[in-house]
Amino acid sequence: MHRGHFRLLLGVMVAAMSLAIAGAAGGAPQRANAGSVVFGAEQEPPCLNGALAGCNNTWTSWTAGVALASLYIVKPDFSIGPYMANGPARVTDRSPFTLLVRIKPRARWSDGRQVTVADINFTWQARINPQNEVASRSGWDSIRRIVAVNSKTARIIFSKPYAGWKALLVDSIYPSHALTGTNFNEVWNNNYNNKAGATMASGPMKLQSYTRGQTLVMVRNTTFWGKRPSIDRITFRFITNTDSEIQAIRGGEVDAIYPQPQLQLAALRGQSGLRTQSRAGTTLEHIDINIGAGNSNPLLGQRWFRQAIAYSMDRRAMVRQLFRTLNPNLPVLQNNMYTSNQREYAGHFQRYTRNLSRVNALFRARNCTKGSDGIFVCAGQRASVRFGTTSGNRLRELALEILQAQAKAAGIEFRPDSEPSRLFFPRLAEKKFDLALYAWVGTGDPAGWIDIYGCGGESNYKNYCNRTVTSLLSRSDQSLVPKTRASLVNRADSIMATDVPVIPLYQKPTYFVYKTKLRGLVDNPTLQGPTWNTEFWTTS
Amino acid sequence: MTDDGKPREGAHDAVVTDPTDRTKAEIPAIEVGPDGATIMPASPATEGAVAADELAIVHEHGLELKSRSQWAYARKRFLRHRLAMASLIVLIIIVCAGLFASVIAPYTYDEIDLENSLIAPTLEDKHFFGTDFQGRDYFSRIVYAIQTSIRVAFLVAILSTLIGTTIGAIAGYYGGWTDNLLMRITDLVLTLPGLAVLLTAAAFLGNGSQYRVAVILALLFWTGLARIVRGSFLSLREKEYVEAAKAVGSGDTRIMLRHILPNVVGPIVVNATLIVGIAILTEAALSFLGFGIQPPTPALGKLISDGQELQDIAWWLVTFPGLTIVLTVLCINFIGDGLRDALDPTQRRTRA
Amino acid sequence: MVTFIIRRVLYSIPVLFAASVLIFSAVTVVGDPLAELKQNPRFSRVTVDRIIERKHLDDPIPVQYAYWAREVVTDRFGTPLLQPGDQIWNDLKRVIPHTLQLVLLSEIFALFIGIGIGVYSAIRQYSVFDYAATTFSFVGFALPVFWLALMLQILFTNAFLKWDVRIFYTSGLNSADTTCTFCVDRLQHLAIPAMTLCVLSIAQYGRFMRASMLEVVNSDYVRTARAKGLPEQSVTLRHALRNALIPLVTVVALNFGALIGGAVITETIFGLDGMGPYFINNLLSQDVYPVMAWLMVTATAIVTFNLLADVAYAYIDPRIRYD
Repeated sequence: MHRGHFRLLLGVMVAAMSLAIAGAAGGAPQRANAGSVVFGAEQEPPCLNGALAGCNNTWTSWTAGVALASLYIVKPDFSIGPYMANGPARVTDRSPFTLLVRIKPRARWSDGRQVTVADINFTWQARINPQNEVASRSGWDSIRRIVAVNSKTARIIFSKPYAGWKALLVDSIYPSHALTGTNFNEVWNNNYNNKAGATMASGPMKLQSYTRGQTLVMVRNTTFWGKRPSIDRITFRFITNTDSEIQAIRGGEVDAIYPQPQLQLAALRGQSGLRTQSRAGTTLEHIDINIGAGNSNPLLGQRWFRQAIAYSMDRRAMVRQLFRTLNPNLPVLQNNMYTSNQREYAGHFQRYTRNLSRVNALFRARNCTKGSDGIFVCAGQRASVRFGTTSGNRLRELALEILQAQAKAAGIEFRPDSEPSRLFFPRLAEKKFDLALYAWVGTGDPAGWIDIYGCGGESNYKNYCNRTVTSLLSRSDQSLVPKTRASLVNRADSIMATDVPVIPLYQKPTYFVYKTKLRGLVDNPTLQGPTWNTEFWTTS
Repeated sequence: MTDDGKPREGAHDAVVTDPTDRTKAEIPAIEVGPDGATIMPASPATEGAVAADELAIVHEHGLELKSRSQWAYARKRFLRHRLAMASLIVLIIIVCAGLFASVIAPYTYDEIDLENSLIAPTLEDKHFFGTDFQGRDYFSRIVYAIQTSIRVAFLVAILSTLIGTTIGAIAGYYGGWTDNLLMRITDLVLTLPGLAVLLTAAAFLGNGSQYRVAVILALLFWTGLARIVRGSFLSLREKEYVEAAKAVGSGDTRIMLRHILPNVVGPIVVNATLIVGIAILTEAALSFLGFGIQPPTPALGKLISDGQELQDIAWWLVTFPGLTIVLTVLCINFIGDGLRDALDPTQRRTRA
Repeated sequence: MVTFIIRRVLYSIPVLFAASVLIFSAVTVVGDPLAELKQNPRFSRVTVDRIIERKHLDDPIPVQYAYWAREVVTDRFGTPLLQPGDQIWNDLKRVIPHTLQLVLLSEIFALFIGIGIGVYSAIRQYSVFDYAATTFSFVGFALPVFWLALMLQILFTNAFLKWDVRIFYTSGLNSADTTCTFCVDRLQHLAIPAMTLCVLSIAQYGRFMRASMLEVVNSDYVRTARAKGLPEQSVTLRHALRNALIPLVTVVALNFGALIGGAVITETIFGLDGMGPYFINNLLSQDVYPVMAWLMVTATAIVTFNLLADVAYAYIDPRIRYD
């Protein structure tokens, strides 16, 4: 190589580097124009049709899903209020169970067509069609038919009473005129276009563009039937890495983020120019205890032993340790069916605080003695059980380690048993576990807990069978009077507080961080998410 | 050494085994010296001439040459390599720290103490490396993690050496179809991107136990050694003493083990040493990605991955395990280099 | 030569086939990709059955493999497990260029710096620079890629926090408001990942160039050039370096496989939308079709590079003959 060439090459390198540095100096991200919000989305929707199994990601409904309004929405206090519906739904008949729903006269699609009963009908048909790979049919498959009283009034007739009907109508409504005759599994994968190629929307924002791996842009829906949105654009930027998210909001590249709670978010505390909201969410972290076949220690079949386990835990200290920096006021969950944010919440498990003398008493009453390693032995059976969770989930691993140390000090041994979720859940389903830490995602409505806690329930991995509990839950699923329903469910829960087939831990908190210039943002810890009220957002 | 887990490969076994050295890897024997002062076969050809010259000079002066075994020479050369010696000492310290973890560590590795969460490194309370999120002493955790890493790495080295040597020996000695088949299998393993295969294998065999992880790693690391051994066996089987042994009626296995294998010990040992280092790095990478050793067994990679979340507020969580890995592997590499010099002196040129 | 190439290609085909069978079985046998969905009581059983039917999940593994093979040939690797409307090839088309950009950038760094270090070490053998370079190489071999990545992240993040100056970004492909590919912003985002990835290559290439240069510099024709009276620098740069560089091609080609592994880790840590996270996410959700597509693409690339390396080597060194 010639000397000259060498020098040339060197020069090029130097130039490139200085360009980079110069770019850095002037490279502050352009200020998004006023009226526009850049939102860091932690997950990318795999596809945009939120009803499908493959696209069924909360971020699907939180980003593009804003375009598809629903009849009702769940508000931050877990109450359900009308959105496209004109007032609360009325139960007009008990048998067959019939609902009367009215759609707002002004509710219309972005192409000018009205939202009508035909759309409700189409949505129902699409959801129950066995060809469509829909994520959840529960409730929809209880509908026998939908009668249009007029174009804006529907009578929904159920084949059997469905107590959770309120939660049913929170799903998005699809436009029948745009989607009839299309393949529901594929048509709205990447856009919400109608047959003429125009994007459809009934919500405050409509989908403008979707670039995989990069952004999803929503713009103001000028034909929105509700309050005119002040924001004219929301750019969702996919930032799947929590570190990147933190960087992005610190550096001002995004205006808001809604990350899963993680320890590194502590770095954002005290950052000026940012505001934080955090509430207890609907992911209910708990410990399942396997009472019957499949467990490795017959002591687990005995109620006193399970109670002893519960008394060995200091759930308060654990929750405080995990969320000290994120949400120091996060309460311990003391009920399995209702969340602490709900009116119906009753803390049946409150009695289970760390009580070593109680633990000792329970063991000694059965003539158990502590072995040389500090673990109780009862008639030759050591107080040792497996305890696992989904490995890789940091918060759960930490919780497990803390509880393990607490139990050891009390004389009970937890043998770690964690696996990645793809191996963990099948094992749960096969009931090959002792204690398992994982979560149910609640909707706020207690429908369906019978699957989990009732005798022979499909998701009852614990071999738990208490006839009273089962009958209470079954009756609650049929009960259409909210107060009665709540009391039935709570009675079931209080019995479980004595049986201890499960120990509730905490509700995973939400974490909403945004620039102070944004107003109107309200954290909605239900599945509705942070974008439930985009028409009320403003930016100064 | 590569992070995808496989020792670097030369383009052809017949030509180079290690791209940093350009000598041909054919290993002809050095002949016996003229006066019965046997210089046993081991090292590549170019040394033969030198040895003969030395002998000539020695005899000119009427001196006798003390008969020394090849191993004595090797040991001498190794001891002269100062960097390797220093590394050996440091490595012994580290390994002992790992082996005697229970004696050295001021705490156990799972003593949770929520009051003392995230303390920076200090001399107070003997928290030399600080504490982690649950208040566990970090120095203790690292020391126990070293134990795990070393154990896994040595297991991997031993297993892969056994597998690689066996396959290479059989392929090289028998040649023909056997050779072809075995080399195709080697290619199969080499074709796939190492890390990806490791991750898939970890998902398949179920990660978690350190022994399982060791087996998985060993199943991927044997290829380099197989090729080297095969190359050596291919050339060495043509030697006269092999023919002689056959004529006497020795069985194949006996020939392979007693006559050919000792000549190949040099590269095998060097390679095995380097594999220890690579195994430590790869196991750390696996644990970091969540596919390796699962808690509660402490592992250096997992410590780093756990510390990653808090790295902005607790730098020591990521720094110390990483430094440990770097130091350990560095020492192992220097030792490997020294061994290579000791057992394969022709590569002297490439030594620093 | 031509026969050699043809034979190698023909050999590679059964190897690739065997590899594909192995990996497919491994990924399919281990567990149930629908497990997490099934344990959700609200998830529709009808849909579960439909997915099982569509992807033949209940069939024995050889049958499933046959379906996959058919998809590869007729439908460009087919569709992912849960999204029948997506094409795997579209996703691959998106992520491969990102990885290529990172790898190329890193290799350019590595070649410049590695060759520079190697050559200079050889010229000034046993000098301080030489010893320092060798030490650096050894340290480079001992560094875990992911740890280096994290340390650099810490370094640059703290620099940003203290002095409010952003030189390089520590994650993502672009800033939140741009999506350009060939721009300064992308360079700023790829700089640290490329730095991380190139360290090992620099160590390798540096060592190799040093050895190569040393051998060349002591050879006959260089001695001749010196004897002819040519200036030292000309001798070094024109004659020696040129010849020392050529075998490096082989090393670079063979390094490709290792680079992929390093890229997987680096992209995961820095949150880059490349081949790495694509592979890992699909492996974690046990979506076998994307995993297989990824592996086939990568394996083919590696086989090709290895073949190129061998051909190049034979081309360079006429003493090498393939039978």
